[in-house]
Formats: sequence, structure tokens, C-alpha cells
Amino acid sequence: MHDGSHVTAAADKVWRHEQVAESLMGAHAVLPMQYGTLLASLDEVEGMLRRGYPMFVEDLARVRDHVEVGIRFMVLRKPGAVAISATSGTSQLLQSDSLAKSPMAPGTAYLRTKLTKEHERRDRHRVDLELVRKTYRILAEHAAAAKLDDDRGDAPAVSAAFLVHRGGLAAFKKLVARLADADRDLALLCTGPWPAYSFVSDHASQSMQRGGS
Amino acid sequence: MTIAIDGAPEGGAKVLHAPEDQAILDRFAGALGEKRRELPQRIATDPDKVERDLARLVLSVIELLRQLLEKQATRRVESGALSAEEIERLGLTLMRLEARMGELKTAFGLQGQELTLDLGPLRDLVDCE
Repeated sequence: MHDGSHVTAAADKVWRHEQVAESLMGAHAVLPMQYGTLLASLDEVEGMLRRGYPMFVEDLARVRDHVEVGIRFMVLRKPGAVAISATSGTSQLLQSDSLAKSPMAPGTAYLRTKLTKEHERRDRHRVDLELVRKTYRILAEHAAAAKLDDDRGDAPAVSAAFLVHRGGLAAFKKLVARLADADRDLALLCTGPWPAYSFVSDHASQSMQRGGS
Repeated sequence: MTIAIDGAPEGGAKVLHAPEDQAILDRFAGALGEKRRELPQRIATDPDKVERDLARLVLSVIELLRQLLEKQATRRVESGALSAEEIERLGLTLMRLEARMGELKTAFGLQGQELTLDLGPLRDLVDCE
């Protein structure tokens, strides 16, 4: 609950929020809310609890005895390691569009170079994502639920969240280490255990949307 | 190996697995935005620095716009909507703009990565290659 004034996202406050959630997690199933979720009054809290009841029950059943494990994937490729096929769709486009028909005047050559670089970047990104998805799928098979956030353009690291049973955490950790050792082109940074932030409904906003509609 | 996450309270190490190579860890840190190249939050009042800081700020904005123009131009070329003459004219304009930016960076002693704009959730929009 908050009076609507300015909320700061200082690291110590976020970690304090985390500590509170984790201290409750030890003994109970917890539906964590993101730090910074604001409700203006006790009435709003009560309204959210009332309206969100079916969601709470569903979410509690999903996360009980489970924790969230976060993984960031980063592809480690040496420069030039991805060869762009001359027959790939992008290369064909370069040969067939009006650039190819134009005489190679300086302005045209400049844009052609930029376009080639852009296509190479896209091809590299596609290959990187295929590698990440392959490893993600293996890990997801060993989790109760999983989410891959691979829709962030060409961000250098792709993140994923896995809902793992408490009893299976050690085995999941070993699997991560084994997969990291198996593929030297892919680095994995694995953190946890966290409250299951990624696997609960957004109670506050959903409840408020319903209440406001 | 024990690695703690920056800012975590004592005993708050939450890393279950991490690459052993420090250079790779640094790349993760960079990807997480922990090593941001920051624009000056204020223009320095030191007369020796004020010109460079101001130039850095202004050139960062211009570089962002230049790269956005370039991306838009390559999209238009890809769409096939431009004639050969239009492509040449557009390419020439962008080429000269890039050359001029290079001259200005040299004049103020600025490197490409110093002109990166961190736009938060929009990520780094300026390509520093």
C-alpha cells in the first residue's frame, strides 16, 4: 500500500522486498508481487484479494513447493564464425533489388554495405536464437513450467525463467552445468532460487482492471 | 566458486552457475546494464571541460538521429520502393553525414562509444561498432 508519492528503486530496497518474500517462502507458498506494485488503500487491497481469489487459488496450486530459477544465455561467437550463405534469402534480396541494378556509384555502394551488414546481423541473431532455444527446450523439459524472453531485438543476453520443484533444484543446477560444459559457444548465468515472480498472474493490475471496468 | 550479485545483502549470493572466465562475466554484466557508459548528468562548470561535455551531449543526440535515418533508409531500399537515382542520392547524403560526424568526433576528441545513449527500456539505440 502506498500514498502515491515517489517510489525509488534503490538496490537495498529491492533486496529488502526480496528478503521479505523469501522469508515467507520458507514456510508457505508465496505469490510474490514485483517491487513497486502500488495499491492506494486498504480498500483496494481487499478488493484485489476478493476479485483475484480464483487466480490466487490457481497460482498457489502452481507454485506451491516450487521456486523460480533464472538463466541468462549469451552466445560466444568468434568474429566471422557465422558464414552467410550466398543463397540465403537476404543475400538473394541484395542481388535482386534495385541496388544490384544500379551502377556502383559511391552513395549506392555505401548503402549496399550498410544493408549487407544489417542482413549479416540479422542472420547472426537468428543463428544465436536457434542455439539458445535448443538449450532452453532441454531445460524446460526438466521444469514444471518455463518462459523464454527472446523478443528483445538483438539484446546480447536472452533470459529465461524456470519453475523448478524445490526437491529438484540440485539436479536442475547440475543439468545447467552439464549443458554449459557441453557447448562452449553458449555461456549460461544461472541464479536462484527466487520466489516465482514469472509464474504468477499480475494480480494487482488484473484485479484493478476488472474493478475499474 | 562464490559469486554474489551486486547489491545483495550478506549471504545473498544467488548464483547457481556462472562461467569461470571473468571476461564472459564482464560481458554478462555489460548486458545487464551494470557497466553503462553514461552521458554527463550535468554540464561541467570547469571551463576546460564544458565545451567537450556539451559537444558530447549534442553529438550523441545527432548520432542517434543519424543512425535512425540510416536504418530507415535501409528499410526503404529493402522494400524496393526507391529508384536507382533515389538510392544513390540517399546513400550519398548519409555517407557525407557519417563523414562529417567522424570529423566532429575527432575535433572534440570523442570515441564512438562515448556517444552511446542509454534509453532504458528502449536499450542502447546507437550502434558503437
